Amino acid sequence: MDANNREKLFAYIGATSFVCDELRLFLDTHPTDRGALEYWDRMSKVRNEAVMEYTRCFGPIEWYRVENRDCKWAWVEAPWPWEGRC
Amino acid sequence: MWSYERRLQHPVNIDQCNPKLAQVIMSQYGGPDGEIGASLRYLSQRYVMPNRKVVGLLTDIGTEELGHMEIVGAIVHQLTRDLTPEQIVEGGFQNYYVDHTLGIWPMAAGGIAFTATAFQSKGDPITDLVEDMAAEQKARTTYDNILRLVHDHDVCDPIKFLREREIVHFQRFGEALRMIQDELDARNFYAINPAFPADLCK
Repeated sequence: MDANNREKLFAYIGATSFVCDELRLFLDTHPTDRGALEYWDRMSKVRNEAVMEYTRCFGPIEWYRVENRDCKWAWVEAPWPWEGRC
Repeated sequence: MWSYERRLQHPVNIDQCNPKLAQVIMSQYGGPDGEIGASLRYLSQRYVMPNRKVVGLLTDIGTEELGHMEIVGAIVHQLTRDLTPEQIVEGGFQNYYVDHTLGIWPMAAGGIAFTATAFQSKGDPITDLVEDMAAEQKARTTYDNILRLVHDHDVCDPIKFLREREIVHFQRFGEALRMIQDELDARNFYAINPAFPADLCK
């Protein structure tokens, strides 16, 4: 996986996460909407898989899901999200 | 981005309401050395902190403090949720009650609204980390003060947990300060502000 894939996968996590954020709010007030429930099941699954793949290939995103390499704590290695594109 | 987990970092199960104690413990929600101020302090200081490990620490402790805010909120809620109008008056809770009923609102025990003026984000790593160490000690002292007034085990238990976390955070911030100092001119830590690039260009 190269930098191009990394950017694509990161954008995919951003997009699928936002879909989940939006669905969560909708489902809070429409808890039996079948279409939204099915959409949630699908999106939360693909988001989860994308986060696991990103974590494995490029480093941690979620603080309970840190996978370390070379006997080194990976959490503080990667750039922080507010740094923007360097 | 943050995500929420439906659990407290330490459980809170209080059966006996106690409005007097609630007013005192409320200070650790929105008071000068409370958990909201702690969280906002660390999360605000992160942006210009020049060391990645220390940024990680500020992120993680700032996030944990949000969890502590929730624990203190849970304690205050469980100490006040079943109050009768008579208990509100007997417990001296009427001044709070008239403005907030039994809702949780960030304020100091003395009634002063939560204010960001109780903390700093100075943009200088030594200044900020020394402030953070002091903040953890101030919160620890407040929990000590609370523990002298609390005799109910169900209330003591989560307060003792929160007090211990202040000590752990103090230790970690002490290490963070040492890391920052190791990267500076050991003869004069204060010669430059490493978070202000103009100084480095001289």
